[in-house]
Order: sequence, then structure tokens, then C-alpha cells
Amino acid sequence: MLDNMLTNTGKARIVKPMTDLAHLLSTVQSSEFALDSSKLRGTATKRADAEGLVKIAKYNRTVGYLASPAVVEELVGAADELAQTRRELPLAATLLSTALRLGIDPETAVQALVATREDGAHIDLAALASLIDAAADDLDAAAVARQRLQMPADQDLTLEEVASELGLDLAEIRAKVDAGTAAAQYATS
Amino acid sequence: MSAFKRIYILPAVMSDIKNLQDPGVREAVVTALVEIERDLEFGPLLGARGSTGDLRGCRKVYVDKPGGQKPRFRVVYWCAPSERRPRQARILSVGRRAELGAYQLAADRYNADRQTQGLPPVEDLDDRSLGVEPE
Repeated sequence: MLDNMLTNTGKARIVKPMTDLAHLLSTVQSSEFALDSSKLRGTATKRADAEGLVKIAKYNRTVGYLASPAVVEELVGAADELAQTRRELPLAATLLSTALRLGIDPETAVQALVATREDGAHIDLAALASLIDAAADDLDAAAVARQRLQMPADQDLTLEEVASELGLDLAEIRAKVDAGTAAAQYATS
Repeated sequence: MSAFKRIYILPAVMSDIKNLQDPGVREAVVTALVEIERDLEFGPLLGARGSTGDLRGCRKVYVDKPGGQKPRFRVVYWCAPSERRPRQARILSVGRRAELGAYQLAADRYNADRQTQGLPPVEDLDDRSLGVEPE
């Protein structure tokens, strides 16, 4: 929305990059000093209310900007948001690194981190943290499942144990196999 | 015979064998296991089929007590650590030949057993890695 307001102020021809918001704000707040006549002030204020933001020039030199309250509010909000984003970025980097270490697909992690809302993209640390939490749970569950699947070698039965359990004499069976008189028929195809 | 055991039977296979009511059939199955112990490549290799699952690297033996027409039971096993270097036969399942039960049980148990041996799931390997294709 801020972008729209700035780029749509056609007559004022004011388009400031987002990174200069702090500077722009300071200029706007001190711009009234250049409006040294009440008529000019009135005209500029009306123009600012209508256009959102106007540039005040004197002798072809820009001396300041005048913004409507709505634009100032937007700017202040955007500046707040930028400041918050700057505060959150280091934490986002840490969370992303954790996500990658847990084996989360980088694209999935970024999708969780960057939430797209009506007013644009925002960092959503909570969503990424939640994704990491779920992945950690999955890893724990996988470790438990692996542990359950792993049967120690000593649980495997030997031929002797099976024969004994079935009440069969393995030595006798082996002897019959050696003698070619085994009590079994096979097919291998 | 090797000083090392060459046959390992999954605990679940004990139940498979006990489910065979006929003592003659049980003895025939144990006899087949003795044959496998002597020749780990006793049974022919299986492959990957939709009806049986991916049993590449496994082998089968049909067995029955003497006197019948054709053997009615199936033993499925695999050679660990690989077909290329078989050191032991690991018996996966025993079941009726007429049903595909032994194959399905084997498919269910195969990867879990491979994991206990520190080996990756069969689906992750090609035939060459499994040693079922001539080099």
C-alpha cells in the first residue's frame, strides 16, 4: 500500500526507495519551515491531502516534503516494520540454519518463514519455529521407530533353536540330507 | 561346515512354521533350511513385482513333505550382507505357495531386517549394488 501511495503521487513526483524511509520521515517532519506564506502553506497542505505526498521546492531546489497524515502513518508503520524486520533477521538466520540442520528442505523453510499477506511479504518466525518443532518431533519418532525395528542379532533364531522348539532332531535331519534320504521334496523354479 | 552360523531365522518365522499344522511339513521346512545352510544359493533369485513387492536380493525354495505332487509351501530368504558376498542366509518367511502370503510377509520384513544389518532399504539400491546383476 505504501508503495502504491508513493508511486501514485504523480503530480508530486515523489518516489523514494523504501530504504530511505527514515530520512524521508525526518524531512517530512521538518518541511513546514520552507512554507513561508500562509497561502502557500494552505495550497501545499491541500495538495498533500489530495496527493498524499508533495515535494516542496524553492528556486528549483527541494527544501522538503509535505505529507498527508495517512502517508505519515503509513511511513511510520513501515519504518516500525522495517525496524522489527531488522531485529528479527538474525533470529531468522539462526532458525533457518537449525531447519537445514534438521534436514528440512530449504524451500519449505523459506516458505514457512516468509508469510505473504494482503499488504506484502512478512517474516513469520513463529511459523518457521513451529515447522522446526514438528521436524524435531518427527526425528524423535523416527529414532523410536528405528529402535523398535532394530532386532538385536541375538534375537534371531538359529537352526538348532528352531529344530529344538519344533521337537525335531537336527542332527538326524542333517544326516538324512547327507545320505540323500531327506524327508522333503523341493522345487526351485 | 563353517564355524560360523550360516542360517539366521527371524523370530516371526518361528510363528510361520508353527502355523503349519502337519509335523511332516514342519520337518520338510527344517530340512530345506539345512539345504540352504549348505548352499546359500539353493533357491533361485526373486525380483521386484507389483504383486509381491521389491524382493530383489531374496531367494525362494518350494518345499513339502515327500509324496505330494508339487511342493505346496514356500520359504523366502536373503543372503547377507549381499548376493555378491553371501555370508549367511536370513530366513524371512514361510507360507503356503498357493497364496502369496510368504512373499507379502517377506516384503514386510525384508527392509526391517536389512536395517538391522546396517543396510539401506532395497528400494534405494540398483541391481548392481544388490549384487544381483553380473558385474
